[in-house]
Amino acid sequence: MSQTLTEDKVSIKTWSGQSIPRKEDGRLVKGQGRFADDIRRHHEAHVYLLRSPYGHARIRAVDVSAAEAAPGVIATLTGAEVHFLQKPFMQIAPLPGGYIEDYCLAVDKVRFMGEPVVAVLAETAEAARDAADLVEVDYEPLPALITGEDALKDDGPVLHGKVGSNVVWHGLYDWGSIDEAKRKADKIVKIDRLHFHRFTSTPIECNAAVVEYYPGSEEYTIWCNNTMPQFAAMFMGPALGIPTDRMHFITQDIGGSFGNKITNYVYIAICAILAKKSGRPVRWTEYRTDHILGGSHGNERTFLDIEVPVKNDGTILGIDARAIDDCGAYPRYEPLGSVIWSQVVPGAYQFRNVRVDYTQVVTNKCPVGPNRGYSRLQHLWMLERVIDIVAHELNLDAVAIRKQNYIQPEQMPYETPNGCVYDSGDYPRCLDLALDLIHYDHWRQRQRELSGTGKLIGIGIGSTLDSGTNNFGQARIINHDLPFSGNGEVSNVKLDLYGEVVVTIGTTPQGQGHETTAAQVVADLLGLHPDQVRVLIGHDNGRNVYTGFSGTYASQFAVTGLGAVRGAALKLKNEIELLAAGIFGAAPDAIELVDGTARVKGKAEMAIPFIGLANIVFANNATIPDGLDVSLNCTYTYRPSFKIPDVERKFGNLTLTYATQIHACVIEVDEATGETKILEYGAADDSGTLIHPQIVEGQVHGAAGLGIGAALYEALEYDAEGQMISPNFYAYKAVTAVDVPMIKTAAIESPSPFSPNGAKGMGEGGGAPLHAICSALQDVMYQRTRAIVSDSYNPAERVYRLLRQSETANRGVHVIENRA
Amino acid sequence: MTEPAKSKTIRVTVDGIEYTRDVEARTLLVRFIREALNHTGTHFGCDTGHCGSCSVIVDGKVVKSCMVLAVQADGADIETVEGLANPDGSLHPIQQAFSQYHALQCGFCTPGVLMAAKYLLETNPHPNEEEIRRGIKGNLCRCTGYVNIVRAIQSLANEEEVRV
Amino acid sequence: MALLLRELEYVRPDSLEDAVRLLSELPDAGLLAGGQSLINVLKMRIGGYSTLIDISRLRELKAIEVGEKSLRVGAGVTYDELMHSMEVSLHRPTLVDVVGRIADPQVRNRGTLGGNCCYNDPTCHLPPILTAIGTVFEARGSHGTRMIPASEFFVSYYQTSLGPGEMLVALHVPKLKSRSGDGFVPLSVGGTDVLNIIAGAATVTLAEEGGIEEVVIVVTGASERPIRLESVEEGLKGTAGQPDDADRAFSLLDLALLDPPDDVHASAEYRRDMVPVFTRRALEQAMKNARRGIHD
Ligand SMILES: Cc1cc2nc3c(=O)[nH]c(=O)nc-3n(C[C@H](O)[C@H](O)[C@H](O)COP(=O)(O)OP(=O)(O)OC[C@H]3O[C@@H](n4cnc5c(N)ncnc54)[C@H](O)[C@@H]3O)c2cc1C
Ligand code: FES
Ligand code: FES
Repeated sequence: MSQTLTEDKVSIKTWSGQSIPRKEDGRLVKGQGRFADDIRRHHEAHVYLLRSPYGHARIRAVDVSAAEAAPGVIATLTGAEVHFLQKPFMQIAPLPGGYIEDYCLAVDKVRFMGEPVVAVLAETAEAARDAADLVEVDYEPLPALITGEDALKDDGPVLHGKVGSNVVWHGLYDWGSIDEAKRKADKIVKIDRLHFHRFTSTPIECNAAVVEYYPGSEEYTIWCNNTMPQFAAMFMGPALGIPTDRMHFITQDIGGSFGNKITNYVYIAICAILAKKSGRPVRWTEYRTDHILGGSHGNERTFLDIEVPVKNDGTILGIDARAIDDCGAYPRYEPLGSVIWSQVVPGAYQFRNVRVDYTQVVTNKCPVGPNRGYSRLQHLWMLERVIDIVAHELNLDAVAIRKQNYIQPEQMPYETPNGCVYDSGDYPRCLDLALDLIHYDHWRQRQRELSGTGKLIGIGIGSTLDSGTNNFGQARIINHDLPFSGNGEVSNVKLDLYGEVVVTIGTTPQGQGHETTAAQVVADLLGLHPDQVRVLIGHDNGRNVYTGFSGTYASQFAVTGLGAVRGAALKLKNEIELLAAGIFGAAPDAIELVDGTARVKGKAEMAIPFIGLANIVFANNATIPDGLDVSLNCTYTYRPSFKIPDVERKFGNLTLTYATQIHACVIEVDEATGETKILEYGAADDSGTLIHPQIVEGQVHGAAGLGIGAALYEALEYDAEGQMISPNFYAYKAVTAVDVPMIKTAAIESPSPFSPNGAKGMGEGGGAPLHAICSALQDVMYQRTRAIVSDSYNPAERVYRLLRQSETANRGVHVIENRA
Repeated sequence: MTEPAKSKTIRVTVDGIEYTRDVEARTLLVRFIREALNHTGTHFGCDTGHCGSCSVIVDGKVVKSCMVLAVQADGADIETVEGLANPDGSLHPIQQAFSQYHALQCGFCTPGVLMAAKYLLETNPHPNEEEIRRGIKGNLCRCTGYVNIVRAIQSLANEEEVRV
Repeated sequence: MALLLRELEYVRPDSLEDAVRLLSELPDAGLLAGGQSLINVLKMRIGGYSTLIDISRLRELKAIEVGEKSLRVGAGVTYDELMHSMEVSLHRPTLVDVVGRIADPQVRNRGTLGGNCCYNDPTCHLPPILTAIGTVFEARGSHGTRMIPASEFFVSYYQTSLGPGEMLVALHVPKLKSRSGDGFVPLSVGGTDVLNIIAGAATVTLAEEGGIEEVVIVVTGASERPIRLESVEEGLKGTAGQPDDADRAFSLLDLALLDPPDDVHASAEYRRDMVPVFTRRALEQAMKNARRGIHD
């Protein structure tokens, strides 16, 4: 893009909608980004965390004397001390789940392998690490709890004694009338068990923090890569007895999060305690093994006893199921996931009778946290499995059954059975686009031609919704006493002393290009080139621009972040117009903003540059036109209009926008080995009005890449003793460039009627690749053993087994004719 | 260095500047670059040599700097991402292509990917898609699904004369 | 695990002789070649050595010499150097292909043939193919030099027959004979040549009329060391190597030989099932290469 303003303006109407080069790229391609572990403080000390080698054990004794005597060691911190210095972190669950006590270091018991037990602070990272080898911990190993189903058994271990069971939360969701639907159905398809596996996005940058304590003001400065800092403050404040304004969070460049960095406040708390204890800036660097063992995993969920009433023509009437969600050893952000899934209760489909008996339990595994597609992808995966299984069992076409059951474009906006409002979209068209991308007709024909030759081709579809901009009122469905509702983000747009436009936002971008898209929006409103708009990097509550919800998560920036930026820029525009109008004695609506000047329309000589306006307000205010109250420093809070949901019926609008992601793929399976190769991959996306199409496409690619990895290669696995067997990139096989195909994309734009700019939050992707690949594998199985693809993780060995499942084996699926 | 010792004095050139430093034998090159020299442009993202975000070019060969001891680099000429751009700050063609094709999102893997891409194009100026993918196989990116990284490198591979 | 190693001593001898001497003199000392495995071991702090003898710059270990019947490849030759060796691509082209598949360019720029063999991880690319083609390992210690055939070199997981103070200096790789071909087919996670679950390797020599004269089939990942499928080899010898010959021969596979591990990447059972699949694919590749030799 050319840099000369006058030329551009002829050809470009607005900056929004253009894929301009990203502002953040300039520093990032030069290695000039500032990431959390790049922060250096004078006199800093380094913390190393000794972690539990057991999944479940009682801590009998901890001896840090040798470590404390080791060269360079400044201090240690143990669970016993933490028990004294910290109150347990707030629990979101109501009692008895709320009795769970979560500390930053293990107290009395360790409940997952990798749980931090002792922190060692030393002059160098090496000294801290060396001294940690000298710490002696006497453990009494306890039996470990590994599966969600086992957690519910009466005779197993109980992780948190005070709770009395391993249940964090239980609730019955019941909308429409599933029993009536079952009576009306021609058939009921029963599926015994579907299992959504544990994986995570493993951002390439691990967690990191530097915490400095100033005794004079009792203030903590926290440089970190937490992506929801005020949420972290809500947890840390009461636990550590620190007023939240005294925790000054500063985030800058963040090397990916995908939700995984929301819960690193536990570790920041360790640093904060040590910073105060030692009087030194405390630097914590997490390494990959630490991150995989003790960072944040995605929710693992098992669906049991699924019953699907259907008509003979394939009309699906509803779903009845039990869900057991395994959140690992401590809930932290959970059990919010136990309601978040209900943003997409019927997925893309029209059925209106749903009953889900939902239980969340603790196990001896790493705590979960939001992970790209959070809680919705598990549910959407289950729905797509159901659709494919129903299609095959009833001998119906997998495309036709989807189109027939999809919510149709003319039904938009569409209220779901639980009161969510799907804003806009055209699912059948997205599906057609996705099928075109993969040359669907060609491959269906090839599949027929190849039948009997030993070459196995499968075609799969994953239809998902990417719900964005949460109504935090849904938390009340989990715990009626939680004082949360709505959502919001803040932005400040100002002129600095010399007239530069500076934008501040409360968000914590990790690659989503906020600096660029915010600049586009502001440039359009203030008549500038995006290069003339400076957007500050990251979240800094010292700038006083934040809400409790500030951050970057849950697909909301395009709506909340840009909504706030737009509001603030409009306020500034209004002030500029008033000021210029006062100066020139013109009406405010006669003022136009062009090239960094405010001028009276049609009068080139009546113009004042922004620097002139800034001068008047900031340094020359005796010249302000009489009676004008302008600051040229404008803050706006964007609040989507939400109501508090009906917590009894678990009913209400839980999210503002619904982007559509429909993926399709063609795979080839090696019958001899079970290896899956992706031959074609297409993603059709509808994110409403696009501000920067290239950034949106990039998000689609990224979500597809991670999803393909999760479907075929990536699983976080534990053995029966609670040992994690995939704690590094040897065993956790993150996808490489040779594992993913060229992902093809297509997009339509169905503007959201509910967002300020027609855009929809997007980026999480709803796990569509998991659905599409399982769907394609199911397509393969129906050509062979008719085995059911019942797990979301399908490495070669599992596919190999499915291809060899005996024809008489119990497939876990039964079709029952309804004679009533 | 013919006598065993716990630390050594080494001389390395990093992005054109020569440094002489005492370094512990146990220090990995990545930590030497980041901590001793404070060149934080080179990142690390794993502890097993898999992610490639620490990739630098040592005497013309791309390596993972977390898999080499700093003492082993004594006398070496090291190129990192921070030396890629021209002295006037204008971007190297690979950097430019990465920005143009949106081959970076969070940008954390980018320093390593750029160095792997540079080495690839130096050793094979016209790689096809397969060769590009194999060339960056040692670099993990969790944001891009590799699509635009491959496209950015392709855009340079297709040029008549690759300026690297 | 972290990027923080235990304190250690480092020495970089100028000559092979010094390296051998230091290795036998220094207590708890080990050789540092490419470091692409050893550095990771050191990061884990559960193994490794307290003194590292860096042999990565020793010129004596870098030579590739062509002899009458075999190539002598220095243990310090990196994968990348081997990939660019005209001598190797002429006389044992399969090695160029195999090392070209190891990990990624970064690892190939440092990792060495010697390191790969001495580390002897069951997922390593080289042990099976080097065993199949009959490589002889030249070891040097304070007592002099000895030659160890591949069948004796690889002992068990991470163990070789090198004695204390002994180092590997070169690999003697037989030159490919006429009408011969090699094959190497691994099953790896994601099919992308990392973390071989099992690997099949084979070499065949065909008689002039095209029948199988000699054949060696090796598998790794199915037991603690690379093992030869001798019963299958016997079954193939003298046949035309057609699919039904192979069917018959593989039906003779002695399953008792196999004692595969069970780990996060695959169960023992699956590994066992994959043995005939990947060894047979390796055989087919070797046959194809050998036939190409005939037609050339
Ligand atoms: C990310 C990653 C992926 C990898 N993937 C693969 C793969 O797919 N396939 C594969 O085969 N390998 C793989 N490797 C391992 C790599 O090939 C190593 O290079 C190899 O295993 C060891 O060789 P090295 O020269 O690096 O040896 P080092 O790591 O230096 O040494 C390994 C061991 O051998 C000993 N040793 C080295 N040289 C000698 C010698 N001359 N005499 C006696 N002892 C010696 C050392 O003391 C040490 O104990 C991978 C490595 C990494 C980091
Ligand atoms: S940090 Fe070096 S490869 Fe990951
Ligand atoms: S751009 Fe984020 S990891 Fe590659």
